[in-house]
Amino acid sequence: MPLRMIDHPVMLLPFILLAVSFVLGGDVGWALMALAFWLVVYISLTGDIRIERGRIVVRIGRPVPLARKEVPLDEIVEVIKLPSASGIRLIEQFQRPWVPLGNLAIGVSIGALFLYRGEFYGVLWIYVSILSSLNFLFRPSEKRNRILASVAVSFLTALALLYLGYLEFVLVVALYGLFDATFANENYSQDAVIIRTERERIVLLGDSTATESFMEKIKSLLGTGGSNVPAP
Amino acid sequence: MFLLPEAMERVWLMRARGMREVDIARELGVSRQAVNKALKDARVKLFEAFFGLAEVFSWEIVRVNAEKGFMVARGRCLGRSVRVYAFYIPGKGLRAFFEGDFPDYVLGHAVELGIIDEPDREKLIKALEG
Repeated sequence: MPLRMIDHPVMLLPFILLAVSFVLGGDVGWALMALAFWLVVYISLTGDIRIERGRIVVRIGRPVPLARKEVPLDEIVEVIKLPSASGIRLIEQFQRPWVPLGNLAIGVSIGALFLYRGEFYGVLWIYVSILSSLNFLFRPSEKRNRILASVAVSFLTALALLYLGYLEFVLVVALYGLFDATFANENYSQDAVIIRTERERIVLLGDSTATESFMEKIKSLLGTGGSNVPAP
Repeated sequence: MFLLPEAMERVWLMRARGMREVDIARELGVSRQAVNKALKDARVKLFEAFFGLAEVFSWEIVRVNAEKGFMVARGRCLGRSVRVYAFYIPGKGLRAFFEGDFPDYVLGHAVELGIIDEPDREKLIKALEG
């Protein structure tokens, strides 16, 4: 999985489309929903971050970029690497925290809309939205708190499903909660690289291999004065 | 010993104390572009120095701040993991300390640059760790 920048406003686009598709319903709604899911996959899997000609180039979406951002290396004033195990409140590092918060809010709203329509899987939608945001949004200062949060969210969801009378889904949530609290929490949380310039701050998330390789490139360029390479 | 050139160090220090580029240019009687260029060059040299230091001692870098001139890294000493804090001190060059064992002049330097508001070791560690 490549490094990703998750507080770019473009990240909100598929979730807004998804919300609109539920409100509209009908054929237009289905078309928008399909587009939204395609965008989620396109944005998550095809974006990349490279160092090219003395600049950090962030692309969201390839081959057709939905957004592109360039940061000249000689404008960098600070580089921070935060391993997933360090336990930090990552949300405080975001320049635009409203983007991941907006994604969470939209996910929860869609779930609430489902419930309002009397469709029980709104609970699952809310559950997945909250759980998926735990690793990068509310990564607590202690790993124990992260596990407790995961258990609490899973427990409340299971209770809600029990109340609604869907026993088979209680089992699904219990198993997924167990998986998240043990394996997902250990292995799937991501490292962060924070690049700060005088004007802005970019938070990049990725697995340890991707962040390590990116840090090595930054070190080899900044550490040999390579940041002075002029951009054409 | 690594030291920034005198004029560059003066510009960097003024910026690190929180002065704006335009005010530095006015005080030194040079153009804003010259100040900007000196700051960029100073940052590059500091990154080079900190990364070089980490490379020599095989420290794993956690944070490098070229604006205030410090680095946080993880190293190994007698088989155990230790925290290393390195600073660029004007006129003295790079100084590294293990596990926050800071002498008074480093605390004074941190206060001068606005990293902390009073010379307190715990506060400095907290500020450096971010």
